Amino acid sequence: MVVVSQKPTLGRQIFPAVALTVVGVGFISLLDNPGGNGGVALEGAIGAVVPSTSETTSTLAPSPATSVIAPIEVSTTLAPSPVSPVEGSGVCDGDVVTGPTAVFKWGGLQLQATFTKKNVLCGVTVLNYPNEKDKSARINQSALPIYNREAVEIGSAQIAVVSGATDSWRAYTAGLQAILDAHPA
Amino acid sequence: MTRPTPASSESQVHPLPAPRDSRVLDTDVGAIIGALTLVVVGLWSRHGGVAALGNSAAKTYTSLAQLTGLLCSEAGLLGLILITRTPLVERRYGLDRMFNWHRLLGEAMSVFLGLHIAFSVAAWAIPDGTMNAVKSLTGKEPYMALTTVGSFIVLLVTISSLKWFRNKLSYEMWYFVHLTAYFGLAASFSHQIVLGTDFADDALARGFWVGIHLALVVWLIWSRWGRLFIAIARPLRVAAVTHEAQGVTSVVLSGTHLRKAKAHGGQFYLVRQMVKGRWWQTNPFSLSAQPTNAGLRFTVKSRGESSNAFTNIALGTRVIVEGPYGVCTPDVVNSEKVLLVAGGVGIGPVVSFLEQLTTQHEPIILYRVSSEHEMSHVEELEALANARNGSVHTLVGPRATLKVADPFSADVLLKAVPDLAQRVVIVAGPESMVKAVQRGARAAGVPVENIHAERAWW
Repeated sequence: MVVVSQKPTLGRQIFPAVALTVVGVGFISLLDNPGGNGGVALEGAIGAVVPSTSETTSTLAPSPATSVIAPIEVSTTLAPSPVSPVEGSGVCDGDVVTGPTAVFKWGGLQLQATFTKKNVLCGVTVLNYPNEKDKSARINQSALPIYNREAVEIGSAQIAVVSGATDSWRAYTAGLQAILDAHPA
Repeated sequence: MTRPTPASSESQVHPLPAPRDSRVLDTDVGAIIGALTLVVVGLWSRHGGVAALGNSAAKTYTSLAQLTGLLCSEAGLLGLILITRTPLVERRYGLDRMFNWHRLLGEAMSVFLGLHIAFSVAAWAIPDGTMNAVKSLTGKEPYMALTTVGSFIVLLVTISSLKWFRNKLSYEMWYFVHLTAYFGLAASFSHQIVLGTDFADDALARGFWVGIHLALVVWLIWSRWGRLFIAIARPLRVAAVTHEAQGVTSVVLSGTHLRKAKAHGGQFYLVRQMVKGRWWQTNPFSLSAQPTNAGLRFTVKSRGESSNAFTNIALGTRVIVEGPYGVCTPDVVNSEKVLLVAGGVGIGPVVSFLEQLTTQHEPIILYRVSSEHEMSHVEELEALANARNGSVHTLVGPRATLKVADPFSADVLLKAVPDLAQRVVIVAGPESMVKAVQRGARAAGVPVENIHAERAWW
């Protein structure tokens, strides 16, 4: 029983660690990064800045073009209303700004923001959201009101992501940021 | 003394070939664990885990809940890899060490699980209040009822395996509680995919996570069940049962299937006695003679129900063996001289080890046993040692009657074996004796890498 143990070469010892680290880092860099914009493209110009009226802020929802199927069907089972606008505590008597359509993986998302006379964000209305698939509609109907509420509460686009609605969060924050950029406080 | 004799159809007795060595290095194991940890922590960080820390209390707790959840799963995955008993790892580290690491990983997993639960409740309690958070996390949210049950099972399994509880439970009780761990782990998997934002929102991460879990399931099924089926298909039969000493019996298993077997002296098998009430249970028994195509000899001390049953087993009984396992084999010796230390029935693995040594090893055997009536294989031992230019020293008697306080202190060892520092030390016996020998040998100048211990299995 004479076994001369061969000492493994340095290369043999280091190679697996290096290879696996490279694969690991490569894999991580391919993952979604909510910090990045994740393929959201803004289309269309910022809408006209118009003085606020009670009518515009109470506009509920998806524009006719995109609301053919889903909101009606889905709202019967899931939510009494589609995405409702949120108004802050202040009086929304300032500008109303319609944002660009943020186009992302699941469709387009368009926001309309209202401001107070002092240019503080006081309400957000979702004009369009992806609802061609039941799942998209369901996710957005539960997440968008949360995003609306939080945006108005903190008065900026730096809102927290809702689990399961990261893509919508990206489009939402991109769209809202575009409005805020075009309408400095 | 029973030596296995060849089955009539076999013309000649020859030792079984050695099992193939593992090419796995410590650095490979480190690389795999490191890379998995890198991916898990990187995934969490990439998804905003680090950025969320210190952001607000709710976000911090959520982020920490995710991190501890991921680490909990990682510990679970690694722990399961160990019980696949894959020969790649087993041939390198030995089954007993793998089981030990499995236990440590299980404990780590439970600590992470506790933290994960605490952070999750804390995060949900901030908007909803503690009661509502608990309600959501134990049933209202999808799959959380299942996950709650799973978590309880995992914690129960860990607690039942803590040394203090383990000693109070019967083997059967512990074993069945432990089996439920598979269900516990499976039950908590779905919530990771549905509620864990790291996987719910990122298809690539989800694919990776589901992929490694599926791969592990396939591996486990193949490794545990596949190997078991092969073992069942190649049963051995009891060929001889010999009373060796008080409470010590040798059992020889033989069969035609040994033609394909590979094994080393010093190794052990998990032995399943195919008799009523025992077939579901395995016991580790060490080889006590060099394994040959004629048979495997095990020397067993009656200490519990199973070993009692084995020492009284009827000739011809079917026995299923899984193995061989264990890394304290003659492989660890090159051309150095050897000291073998046996305690009690640890003489079994020492005899089978000794048989594979040659004259250049000049083996010295120290045989420690608490009573003369328990000494076994003495003539065999002396014959083997003499044929190899070696010698046998026995130390008999209860500890209190010995002339020295510690029979394995460096002084005592050096007196018996003056060239101890140049020898490779092999020790098999009760844990306390193994520790004493390790301590004494190191103090006498034997390098750590030249001391090899096998927990005696009997």
